[in-house]
Amino acid sequence: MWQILIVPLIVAAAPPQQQTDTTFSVDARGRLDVENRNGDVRVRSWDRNEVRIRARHGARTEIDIESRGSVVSVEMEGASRNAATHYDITVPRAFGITVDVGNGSVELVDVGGDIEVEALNGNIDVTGGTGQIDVESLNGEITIDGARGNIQASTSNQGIRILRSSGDISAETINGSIALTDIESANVEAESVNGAVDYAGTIEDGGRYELASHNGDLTITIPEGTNASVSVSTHNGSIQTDFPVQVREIRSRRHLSFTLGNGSTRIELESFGGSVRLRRPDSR
Amino acid sequence: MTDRWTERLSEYIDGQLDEHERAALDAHLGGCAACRRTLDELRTIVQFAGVLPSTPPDADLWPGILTRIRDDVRVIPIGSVGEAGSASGAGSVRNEVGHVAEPPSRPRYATARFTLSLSQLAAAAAIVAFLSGSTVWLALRAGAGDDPMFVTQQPPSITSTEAVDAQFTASATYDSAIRQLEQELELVRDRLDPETVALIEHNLEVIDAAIQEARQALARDPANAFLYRHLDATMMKKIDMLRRVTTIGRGQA
Amino acid sequence: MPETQGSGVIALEQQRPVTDRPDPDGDRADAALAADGDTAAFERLYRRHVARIHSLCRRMIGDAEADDVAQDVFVRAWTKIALFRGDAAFGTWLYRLAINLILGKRQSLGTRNRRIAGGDPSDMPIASRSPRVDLQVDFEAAIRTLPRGARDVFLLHDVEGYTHEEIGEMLQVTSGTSKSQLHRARMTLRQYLR
Repeated sequence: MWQILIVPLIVAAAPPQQQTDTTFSVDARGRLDVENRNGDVRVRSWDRNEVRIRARHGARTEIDIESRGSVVSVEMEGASRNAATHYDITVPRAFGITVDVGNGSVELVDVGGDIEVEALNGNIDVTGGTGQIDVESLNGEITIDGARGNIQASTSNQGIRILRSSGDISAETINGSIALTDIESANVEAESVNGAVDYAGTIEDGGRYELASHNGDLTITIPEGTNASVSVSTHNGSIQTDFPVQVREIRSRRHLSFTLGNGSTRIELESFGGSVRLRRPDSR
Repeated sequence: MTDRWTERLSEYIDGQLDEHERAALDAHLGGCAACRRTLDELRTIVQFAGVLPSTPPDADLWPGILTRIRDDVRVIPIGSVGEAGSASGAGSVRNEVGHVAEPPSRPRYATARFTLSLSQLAAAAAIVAFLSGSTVWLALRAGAGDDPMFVTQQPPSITSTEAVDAQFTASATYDSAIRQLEQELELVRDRLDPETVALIEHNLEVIDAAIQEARQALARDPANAFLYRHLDATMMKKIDMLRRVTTIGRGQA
Repeated sequence: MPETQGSGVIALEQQRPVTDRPDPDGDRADAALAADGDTAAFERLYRRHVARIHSLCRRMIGDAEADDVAQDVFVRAWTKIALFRGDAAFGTWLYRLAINLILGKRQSLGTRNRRIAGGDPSDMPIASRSPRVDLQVDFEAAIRTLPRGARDVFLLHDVEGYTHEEIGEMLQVTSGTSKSQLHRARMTLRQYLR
């Protein structure tokens, strides 16, 4: 069903010509469910208890909108395999969103409810939001900015950037880097195979922070006054810390475990081929 | 220190070397303090293991067990996995929730029933599904209640539990699981776009390279717990990736 | 069973309630009764074997799930007890059932937020330096940090006394693999002696 078009590189058979634009009332709390084979999906929110669906699509495509209970589902019918449909949807702020896209990017702004996105070949961008976020792309970059709920992000062939967000975080990629910046979280798990992993955010008492990579460098910023049990391992890389570590705590050139403060938080950093850097907030 | 003598020390302790090998190792031990030390340490480990105590759980689990075995569950057969009497059970599974089918014709024993929690069921179903390419089982207990449970009609089809057990045992190691997944992937590969396939293969190569490096490092440094964990984790990534791709492939009409 | 030699055996305290002593004849009788639906007989079997089964669950799957898994083992044993023919020891039969169940659970397709390194969540840091009194606690924790394959073989061979052939059959590996995993496990565990 989802045939991949590498969208920037291939000219679509015909640019979408038709516009559908429909608005209807809904309950404030509901869910939007969009499935799209080819084309972008953009969802924003407003204060009205209404859903507005705008779509640009080919002549033969019909947009099928169904409202069942509190779920509004949107999909296209009759489109040829190559036809693209681009959605621009606005929902009530508390709505949750589920998007399943084959070939196209997904952009969600200020969605209050839980978010679930799956893309085969496209970037995923989430801005704002207060619900759970669960996004997965096979080939796409994931960016999450200003979200305040638990986040799970997974891609295989690109990187993940999460910034200015709070909540538990689980980020995973194979061939890309992970950058977590300006985060407030007590539970962070970030893993890559072939990319760097960086975390700069709060380190909260009793929390758990695990960064791992096979080939990439790991960097974690540790504020003053942190209470943590830290365990660092590399196989082929070096370990650099910005603060003094007792000689007896160095188990070997490549393994380090030490305690800061009362050690209540657990920090685990493991890289096979990369280096590990533990830095202070003010250092370069 | 890793050398060819060290590798045989466990077998030495377990009495698994033949006369000739044992004599050779004895001779070596005579002159190698390091190996003697290692031997002592290994023996101590074995001793500790031998006296490792079994301790019961803090809570008494019996009441919970009694509730479950007494629970009178109305059973809904979901269709048998494979032929009655065959343990391999890799045939197709019909996904018939709530449908009461004929009882299996050859009950093996009269009284036994089994129940699986939904998570166990999901696990069992997932394994059988991805190993055999069949659709996923699901069952709901008739008459609401708490947890949905997978149930089978009395008398049960022994093939169901045995099939599940057989699959569990068969996929006990990573290598076995990966092989099965790769075979499954072959079956759905044709449904995927060539660009997607290329992408997936590239990612699998990245993971394989990482696995290879970890393995080589481990070969040079076998007593390294970190490397084990890392290899373990990396192999899991491969399985995750294969699984994900198989799911995508199966989703393609 | 592994050979024990000389000193080095540490007296270990039992802090938890003692379970019933092994009783193979009693097992056989109770199994027959349980197969006919006698839950009191099954309870006797439970009391005699729960410690060993629960310990196995703890070591292979972890503390958090051990209670649930141990329960699952006994519930499944109840449903299959008519298959127990009494030619082997009940404990062995039960143990194998437990291992199958545990291996099956570990293969279950967890979601991607499953913690994967080492196979089990282990709350204990690696190699804490401690006086000999705490050696048992450290040792259990050390076993838990072993990767799955090595840990399984170590538990089955050195703790439970199965042969490499039997282990090979249970884990679906060659006995050669079992031997090398065992050696690796033992070598890795040495660091906890220091």
